Order: sequence, then C-alpha cells, then structure tokens
Amino acid sequence: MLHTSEINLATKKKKKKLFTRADISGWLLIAPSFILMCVLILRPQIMGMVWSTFEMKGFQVVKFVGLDNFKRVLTNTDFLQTFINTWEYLGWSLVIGLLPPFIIAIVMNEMAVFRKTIRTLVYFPGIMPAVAVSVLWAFIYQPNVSGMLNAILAKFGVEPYGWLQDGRFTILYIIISMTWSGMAGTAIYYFAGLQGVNNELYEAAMIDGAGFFTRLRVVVIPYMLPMLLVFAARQCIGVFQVVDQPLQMTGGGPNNASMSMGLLSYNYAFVNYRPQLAMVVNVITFCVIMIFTLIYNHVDKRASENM
Amino acid sequence: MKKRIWKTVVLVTAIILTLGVLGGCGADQNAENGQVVISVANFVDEKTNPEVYKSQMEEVAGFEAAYPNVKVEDARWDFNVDTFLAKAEGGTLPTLYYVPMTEAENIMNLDLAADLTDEFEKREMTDKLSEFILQKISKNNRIYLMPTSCYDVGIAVNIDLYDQAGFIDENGNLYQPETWEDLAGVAKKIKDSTGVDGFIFPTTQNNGGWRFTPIAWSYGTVFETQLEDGGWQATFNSPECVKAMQFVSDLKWKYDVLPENALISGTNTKEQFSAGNVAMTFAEPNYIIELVQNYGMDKNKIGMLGIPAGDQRRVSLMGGGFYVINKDSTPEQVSAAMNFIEYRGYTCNLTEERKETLAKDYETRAASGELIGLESISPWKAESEYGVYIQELNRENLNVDINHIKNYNDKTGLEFQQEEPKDAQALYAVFDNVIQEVLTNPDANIEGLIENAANDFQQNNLDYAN
Repeated sequence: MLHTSEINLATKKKKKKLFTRADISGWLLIAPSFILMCVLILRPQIMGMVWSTFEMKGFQVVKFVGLDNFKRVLTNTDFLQTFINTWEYLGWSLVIGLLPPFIIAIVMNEMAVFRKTIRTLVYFPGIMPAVAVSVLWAFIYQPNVSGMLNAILAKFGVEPYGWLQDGRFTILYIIISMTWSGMAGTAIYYFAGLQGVNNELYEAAMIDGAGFFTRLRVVVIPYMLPMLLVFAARQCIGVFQVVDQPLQMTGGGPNNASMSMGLLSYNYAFVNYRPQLAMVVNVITFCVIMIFTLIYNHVDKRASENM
Repeated sequence: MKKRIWKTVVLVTAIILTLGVLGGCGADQNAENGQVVISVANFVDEKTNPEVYKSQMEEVAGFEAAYPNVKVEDARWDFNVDTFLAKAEGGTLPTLYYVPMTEAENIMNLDLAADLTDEFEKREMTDKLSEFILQKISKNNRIYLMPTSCYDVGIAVNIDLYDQAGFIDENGNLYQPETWEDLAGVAKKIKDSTGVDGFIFPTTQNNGGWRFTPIAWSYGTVFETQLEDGGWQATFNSPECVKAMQFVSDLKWKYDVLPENALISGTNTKEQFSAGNVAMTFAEPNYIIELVQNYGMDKNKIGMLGIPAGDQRRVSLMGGGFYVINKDSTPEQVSAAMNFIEYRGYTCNLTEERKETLAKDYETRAASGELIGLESISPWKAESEYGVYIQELNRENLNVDINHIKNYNDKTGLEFQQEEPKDAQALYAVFDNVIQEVLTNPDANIEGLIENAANDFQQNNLDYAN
C-alpha cells in the first residue's frame, strides 16, 4: 500500500511530466489557437450565461436581476410555441433531411459513368449562400401562379396553393429548402465514407447472388451506420439553431408558425435591443444542444473505435 | 545548436502568431496633429452612386476648408440593426450617424447619444424646434438628437396603372381617395381594368404593424394608455381597432386587391411596386428616393397621394430621421459634428453660404434622377427661415409633373401623430402576426385575435414598461 507522501510524489512527477521544458515549444505553438478559442468561443459563451442574469442597456451591464430575465422569456406568450416549433424543425429535418444525402451518395457510388459530373451537380446547391437559397425557394414557393411549384400544378389544372402561408406546414417547406441546400456537403462525406466499404465483402456478397438492396442491407448500412448517426447528431445541433431561413422566407410567420428559437433570439437582440433576453433564449438552446453534443461525442467516439 | 535554432524558430513563430491575434484589438481614432477627427456615416456608396458621392466629398472638402482644425472621415457605414449594438459595445460607432425616427427612443434609452442641449442653446435652436420634435429628441429635459428630416406617410401610386384605370383626369390630376374604403374601391377598379394587384401591404419584420397604425388611429384606436401609477395599459382591444383590422381583411377577402403572398417584407414591397406588379402602397419621401435610386424606378411613373381618412380622423404617422452624435465623443468632436451638420444645412440657422450648400445639394440630387418636389414637414417651427427656404428649393427644383404629387403635398385637414410611446417595435410585431393570420385565413376571428394581441402585448411588454 502506498503512503500519502508517495502518492503526492507520484502525482507531482506526473504533473511535472505534463509541463516539461521540452513541451514549451508545443504550448507556444498552440497558444494563438488557444487564445483565439478562449476569446472568441469560451468567453462569449460564459459572458452570455452571465449576462442572462443581468439587466442591460445594449451590451452594458446595469444590475444583477437573478432569474427575472428567464421568467420574462419563459412567460412570454410566444415562447412555448417557438420552443415547440424548433422541435418541429428538428423532427422534419430528421424525417426529410437524413436520408436524401445518403441515397445520393449511394447513387454516386454505384454509377459507373458520369461520376464526376454528377458529383459537381450534386454539390452545386452547397456553394450557394443561405440567403440566396432562401430567396430562390421563396420564388419556388410563391403562392400565386408565377411561383414555380404553382406553375407546375397549374399544368395539371390544380389551383394555386399557399405553400409557406399554410401555417400547418410552413416549417416542413422551410426544411425541404434547407435539405436541398445542405445535403450536398453531407452527401460528399457519405460518398467518401462509402469508399471505405470493404470491397472483398461487397464482391463476396455479389458472388453469393446478393442483389443491390441486399448488399446495401448487409454490407453498406452496417458499415455506414456510425457515420449516419454522427451526422444525425450534427444535424440536430445545426437545425436547432436555425435563423436565416425563417428570417428570409417567412419572418417567422404566418402568425409565428415558423418562429424558431434562433429567430426569437435575433429579434430580442437586434430588433428590440434586449440582448439579455436573447442570452436567455441562447442559454436554453445551449442546454438542449449540449445534450445533442454529448450524444454526438458518444456516437463519434464509438464510430472512431469501429473504423 | 540545431535544437537552439529550432527553439528560436518556434518562439518567434508563436510570438508572431500571438501578436497577430491581439493585433486587431483597438485602433485610436482621436486627434491627429492637433486636428479634431470626426467619422461620419451615411455617405452614399462611391461605386453605385459616384456623382452624389463626389458632390458629398466636395461638401466635405468645403467644410474642412472652412474648419481647418477638423478632419472628416467617411465611416463607410449606414445604421443597421444587425451591427449597431456590436459596434456600440466595441466603441466603433462613428462620431456622427443617421437613424430613422423609429429608433430614437431606443438610442436615448441605451444612453448612446451625446447630450446636445448646450450646443442647441449656444446656436439658439431650441426655441425654433417644433413642439413634437422637441418632445421626440428629449429625455429628462435634455436634448440628445439632431433632427434632419420629418415626413408623413402617404400613398404611392404607379402612374401608368392609375391612368389605365381612369383615375387621372384630362388635366392630369390624380384622383385622391378620401376614405380607406374609397381607396379599396380604387384598388379594385385598377385590378379589374389592368389585372394588376391594386395594393400591397407589407406584413413581416414589423412592417405590417407599422403600416397598420395610421389606419387604426383613423378609426379611433388608442393603442396605449398611461395609468395614474405610471404604468401602461394596452387599450387596443376595442371595436375601433377591430374595425380597422376588418378593413385590412376586406382588402384581401372582399375586394381581393392584395397579392396572393401574405408574407411580404418591406423589401419585397419595394421590389413589387417598382417592378409595376402592384399599383399602390404606403410610402413617404425617403421611400420614393429608394425606389428611384435602388430599384431603378422612373420618377415620372410615381405619384403620391395623401393618406385616406377612417371614420374618425384623417391622420398620418410621422416619420423622419435624426443625426446622433456618439456619446463617447469629446466636446471638441461634438462641436465639430454640430458644425458639420450646420454646414450641410440641416439646422435652422441659415447663412448665405449654407443656403448655397443646400441649393447645390438639391441640384445634385435632381441631376442624379431623384424625385424632387415632395414636401416634408419641417422639424422647425413653420415660420422658421429654414422651412421657408426648403419649400422654395423644392419648388425651384421640381422635376416631375406637380399633378403627380400635389395631393401628397396638400396637408389640409391632415393630423400628424408620432408612433406609440412604449415598445413600438414590439407592438408592430404583435400586429404583424394578426395581419398575417387575417390575410391567410378568411374565417379569422378578428375580435379574438385583437383581444389576444392586446393581452400578449400587455403581458410581454407593457407590464415591464415604466
């Protein structure tokens, strides 16, 4: 059994090893990144949490008010609907957004010809800025006959439909536009992942007479599953912060039907000049995202171990 | 030896990188060679509007010649909500910048404006301010903002469509709708005869509520009432407000004169109107300038009407703009910024030199294609020399058919009202929601919506107002 003094000595020795002179150059090299991370990532997050408990004038702290700001936000008559809306964004994004990039990656992988052309075409929406995508889709969803979708419907004698104005499905339509622009990047990742599928297994399955769907089920999906889960977690994190699309396409309407937590925070900070209330929304969002992040880290770790 | 070289390289690299990180922090904009430096926002963009920019820079050169101890820098920034607070916190707001009237209360509440009371007194301007403007730019009996323009909301019309629908007589006079129902009838006739939507009503980003307020006032709505204990009560859950909202609903479901899209931002409105896709919309002089300069609309195709009346009053919402002098400015910078404002001709103190500056400014604006002739409300008392001179310049530089704008310029019987005193932006947001619901749901329960809106506004905002 070790004595306390021996344990301390061992710890000291261990600590000393972390900060040996030989490591100084390493610490110096990471110093700029570390400072940047502290200044640009950690500090704003911590300050945001602190400020959410203060009364503020602009970004100037006036006085500590405890949880009053939280009470004000949580009792705001729009908050509950906004919180539910954000989960609806998330739900639709998982239903609509998860599979298309994977399917596209598989199609690209299976294609014997035009692979590069298809890859370029698939990636094209990914290079468009979010605002441009929103404007484009606002045109596609125009509720009159000049809107692209309604023009197509008109060819079949169908009356124009309100699309984004139908509050029951506004979020769904926004998610479709987000999926269109966001799936390219993910598809390329999946495509890269598919290159790692063991060819021997794939060929063995083919020799055994496995068709496309059987190969997909027994070879591809088991191999890709960790990656799919990682991207699902990342998608949850991203979608929970959605601001640009509802801001550009609907302004959060009709009648708050597409208001998201991100947009609510934007309105508090930049329209009503109450950053402390925006911070409260961000703290709540942060807590939810933290859960997703923990899941992401767990899944990512397992995925790395399986690779 | 090799190890030492390696260490030196690492150390130098680390220092350079760290300095690079910290290097961006802070830049002093104060005096250079004893000069007072003021950074001024809101100059036009050099690339998109070279003529006007050149004229503005000539004005700056003239000012610097008249005040050799002052240097004016182009801050290359216009007020916008996305960057404003961050710049304020970072201490990088310009010395002098322009804000719309809707932001006046916020700017003063945030303590971002320098106290101009002594400058106003020194320049003998306080007594010349019109009462409503003095009220708008003051807090606790101190003056914080400098008024530059003031206007009332009217109705812009597309001259071609108005003409096609028969609303321009043989003498070129535009028909002036007397009431909101009259306006709806005009819009319907335009749609029936041209196929183009008669009116466009913005509905998002607080534009819907903002545009709705003068309609509601004209039907007798009182939005907010101060209680004896100093608190505030939402008082728009009233038959008057319901009636006003019913008119908005009728535009869509009875007259069918609005575009199909019920989620329209202020920018969409300008795009649609300037492209000739709609015949009428709410507008004010600054709005017309934008339509011409930023959206390429021909100034001769724009007409301006006075705002119609409701069943109680004919009242228009007052808008305008103010110059803000940054609170962090030194007294010398405040004085230099006030001199610059005065030099540009925005104060009531007119000298022959300043008259020349203003006259030249009008010529440049006319030459750049801007519509000249719309009469604003003077922020100064009616009898002030400034107000009279501006009207004179407007008439001298008129560059469109006066018949197109004379209905707007005729303010007879028109009342002016400022936006609501407490949380106006939040009030507009609440009404955005109501208007969106009313315009997307033909069976919307207007009374219930207004009742809920009043409760929401009370609970979310006025309960916290003092």
